[in-house]
Amino acid sequence: MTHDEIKESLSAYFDGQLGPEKAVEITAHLQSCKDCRAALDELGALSAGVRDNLKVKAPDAMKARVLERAQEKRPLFPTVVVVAFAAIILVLMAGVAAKKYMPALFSNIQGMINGAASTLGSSSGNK
Amino acid sequence: MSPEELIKRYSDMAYALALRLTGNAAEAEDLAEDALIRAVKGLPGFRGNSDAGVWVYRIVVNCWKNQLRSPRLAFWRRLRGFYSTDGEELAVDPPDPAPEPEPQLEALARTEAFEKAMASLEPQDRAILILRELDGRSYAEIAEIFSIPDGTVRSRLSRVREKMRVLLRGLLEEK
Repeated sequence: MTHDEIKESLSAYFDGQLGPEKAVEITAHLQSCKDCRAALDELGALSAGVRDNLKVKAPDAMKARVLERAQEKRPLFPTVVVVAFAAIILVLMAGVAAKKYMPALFSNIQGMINGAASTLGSSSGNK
Repeated sequence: MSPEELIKRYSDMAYALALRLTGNAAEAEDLAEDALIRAVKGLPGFRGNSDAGVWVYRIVVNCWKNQLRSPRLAFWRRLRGFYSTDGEELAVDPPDPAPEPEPQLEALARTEAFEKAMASLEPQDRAILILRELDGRSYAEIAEIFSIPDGTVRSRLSRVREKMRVLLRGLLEEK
């Protein structure tokens, strides 16, 4: 590697993220190159500076809110499903009650439903 | 891993990452909270094939990308930029102007210089630097978090460090 290539690779060398061959070559180069040694020292100082000056802690209130959401018990069935199920049961019960206590009304409704079904069937069959 | 353990281990770094991606504390708190809640909810489906930290930080980055695409948030971001006087996004409150002992003033000036230098970088470059320096993430892990090639992480880190070095030299000599 040339001096410029080595200088460009110093950041990855500093991080220990180069392959062993390149790392050995750079280590040897550093013995004789004052410029690259200084650049490597500056990388170390920058790294320490970032750690010392830019470390932050998450706000406690935010952690508490996330924890609270994590501990919320999720319902077994969503509300929409429960309401829809209850509505179906109610309609069925109303049907049973109508058949038992108001047979005339029930047969009228049944006739209306059958009529509507046959109209729909014949109109779709005409197409 | 329990939700409590996930929050204890990764919330500080998720927030640090969010802070560098968004550039301000209020948006960072919303972003980190959203991402951590998603992570906690997704915990039963996490198979543990990859590092849990990488998984959590990927969620933070994906939430950030989604927010960037959101027209509502883009409007508020533009509005904030319109009313901003200096155009810079300082991630921390400016230091207290009250008299301080000399070493503390120096430390504040140094922190302010680092924040200013960071503010002049691209959001993704700030985040890459933070993941490397504060969390010791490997290039492969950072590449996975951002869905970019390893070589890109290597070249960007090198470029970002050089830029930080030049900026900090100027800022610290000013003081």
